[in-house]
Amino acid sequence: MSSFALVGNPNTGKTSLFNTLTTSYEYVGNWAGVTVEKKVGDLKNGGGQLVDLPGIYSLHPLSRDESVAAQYLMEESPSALINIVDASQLERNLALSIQLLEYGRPIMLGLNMMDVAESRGIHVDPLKLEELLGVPVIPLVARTGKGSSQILSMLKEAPTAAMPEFKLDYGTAESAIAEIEALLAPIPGLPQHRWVALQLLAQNPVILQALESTLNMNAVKEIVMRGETELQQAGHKTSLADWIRTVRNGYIDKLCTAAMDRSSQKPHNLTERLDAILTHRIFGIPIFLLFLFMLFKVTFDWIGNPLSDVLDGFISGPISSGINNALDMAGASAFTHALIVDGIVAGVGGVLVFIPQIFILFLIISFIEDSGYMARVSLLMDSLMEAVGLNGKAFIPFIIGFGCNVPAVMSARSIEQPKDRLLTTLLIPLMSCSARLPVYALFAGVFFQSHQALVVLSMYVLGIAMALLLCKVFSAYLLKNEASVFIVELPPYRLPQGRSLMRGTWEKGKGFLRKAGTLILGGSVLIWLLSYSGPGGFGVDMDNSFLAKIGGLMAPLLAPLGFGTWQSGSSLLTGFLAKEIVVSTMNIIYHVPNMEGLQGQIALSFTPLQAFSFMAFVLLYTPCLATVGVIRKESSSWRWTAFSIGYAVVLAYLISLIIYQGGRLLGWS
Amino acid sequence: MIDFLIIGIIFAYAAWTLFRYVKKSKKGACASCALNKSCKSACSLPGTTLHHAKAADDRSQPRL
Amino acid sequence: MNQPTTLIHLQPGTAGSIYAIHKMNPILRRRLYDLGVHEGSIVSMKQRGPFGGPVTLECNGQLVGIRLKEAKEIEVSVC
Repeated sequence: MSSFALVGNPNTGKTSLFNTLTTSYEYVGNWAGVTVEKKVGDLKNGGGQLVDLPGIYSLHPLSRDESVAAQYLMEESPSALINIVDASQLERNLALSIQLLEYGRPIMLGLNMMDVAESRGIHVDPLKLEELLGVPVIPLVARTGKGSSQILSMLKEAPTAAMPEFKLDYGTAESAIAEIEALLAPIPGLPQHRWVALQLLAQNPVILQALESTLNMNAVKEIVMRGETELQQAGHKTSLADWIRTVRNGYIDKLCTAAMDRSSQKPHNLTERLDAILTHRIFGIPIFLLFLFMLFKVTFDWIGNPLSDVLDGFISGPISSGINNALDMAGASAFTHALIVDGIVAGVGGVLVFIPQIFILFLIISFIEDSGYMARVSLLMDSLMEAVGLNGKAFIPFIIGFGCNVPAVMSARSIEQPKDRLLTTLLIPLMSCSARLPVYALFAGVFFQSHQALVVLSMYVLGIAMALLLCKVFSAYLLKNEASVFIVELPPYRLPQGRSLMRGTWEKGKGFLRKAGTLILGGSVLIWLLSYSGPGGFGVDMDNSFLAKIGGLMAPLLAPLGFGTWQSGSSLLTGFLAKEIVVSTMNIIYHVPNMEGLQGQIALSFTPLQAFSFMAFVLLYTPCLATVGVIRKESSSWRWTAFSIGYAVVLAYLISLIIYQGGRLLGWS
Repeated sequence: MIDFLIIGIIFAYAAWTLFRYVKKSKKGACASCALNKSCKSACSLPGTTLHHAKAADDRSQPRL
Repeated sequence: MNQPTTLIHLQPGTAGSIYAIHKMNPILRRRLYDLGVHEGSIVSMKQRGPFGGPVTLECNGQLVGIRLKEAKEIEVSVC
């Protein structure tokens, strides 16, 4: 089966193109040893498989993640390459293209974002490019799928296509190239020798390492030295690697002059005007906070809660009666009845009602990512992160952590330095994940009705504040780490496409649903059983159940925090499995048919201050079991895993204590 | 009786989901992960587009 | 008038051609190179960051953010 590779710069619409060209795709785990997912898909016309290589600017990697493409090219033999190029950033993109053209296998250039280029007054002539490069150049608008059918039909013919005859004249360096090619001649199974030679001369670590055992490296070094001496003699004071780059750049300049018309280029007007406000020196951060506030307003007050109420009505209404009737018809016993209605429907339903809030949150996050604002946020946050000693690369794991801590911890692998990585891993649980949202929604809905958005926002801010504080503490006393480097590309703002937004939201949200139908259901059954049975047998009074006994053990410890009841103790205990289960447990304990009833019960059992203290505790107290598991796996250390649980519990206790006792001192109760 | 059947299925399923969750947690995977068994690591959450835009802070040569 | 000045001292709206990039982390230098920011490129300052944070510069139609202290290492001659 033919195998093709999709290569290109980041942010060029590669993913859109991949999705358009393939019927389905799978993440077949990661590329060996790195954090980047390996994505392979079947081509729509059945022409073979397409491998999506990670976005890179050059085959010469700076990190392990970036070495994937070079490694792939060395080890595999794709039938053809598709090089996706951003028409509005031609020079930069062509730097990679040249290296791919030299690879010597059939290749086609997908000239994407033609619409963006046109709208900015940049005219690229695909035919001219095709003429000058000698390979097919296909204009695309990957977002809409335009041009993809052409690519598909070309791929079908690829196995019989001609190899590109692309050859740049490297002048003085040509003799060095020839000498290396001579050294490579006896080695079998290599890609085109000229390409390998050039990569070697450019000191590409991937290629160097691949040939370590089969090539005489000393001979290579000698050739390089001689080559550089020749360069010096010719008057060029650069290394061979730099010379190669210079030659390529010169060629790219000529190419662009011939094939691109920039005379009517317009600046990024809208983007720059927006940035003037959004990354303003003084107003940038407040605007971001305001934006967050609005985000929560929409997620709760304006859209989330109303939808949630409707869903609640549905679950406790038609669904519950439907189930009740079915059970009656089947002649189910009281036990079964209670199991299903008071256990499963209560536990799972109690969490499902928050689907609207969770999906809206995910939708807005997807919007921020796709629109380009996220890049600006990382810019705004950098000075803060640098001040506390956080690696700039920690930003992404933290953002992911707001969805779910587990993939966030795994994405911390992109941080190469072990100390930085560990530090980030330890702090990720402080990012308030979506599982905690039902808890906030429940309590804020009862006690802070007019300020729900603000209260929930305060939870997120509290988590972040603690992360910043602890980062300073940890990096000072525990994990001294090195200074990091920061650079971010700010893509032009754009309105995200509805389809990709929906897909992104669904990707994030379906995990929540899956979890509800499995773990939360299982957990609810268990908790219900513990609440239904006790030392006195089955069907006991809730206060005499096992659940109450277990929770009762914790209650005295929690008293200073404002919630020293067995109900709170049990809920928090079960929350270790998954934080949503706190809500499930409460639903089961308080035995009520719908959310309104639960809210009523909660209102009786807590005061606003106690509720706030409880929320803070849930925010901080321990990573959930799944997160603990992945922390252990990623850190390979029980010690640090225990530490992550330990410090969290201590922190939660302290903060809740401060909130509750401090609040009481101030006169609230 | 249908009653026992229902109870049996429910408890079996509940036990199974709990066991699977604990087992997966021990292995370090995600209970809500959408990936199939062939995935041994990172879940497919977006945000990776910014990955590449950040510089490595490794002053030494990258290890391969 | 070809007086070299640093990037951050460029008046917003004026472009400069990079004259030299002084002591800069090689990784960052390489990243900038990948994005087309190197000796000889035309750049302009767009925005200062909040509270001494990263600045936004523009080069070849791209907007890039780098830290203030690194931006200070970029010497430009005003075009």
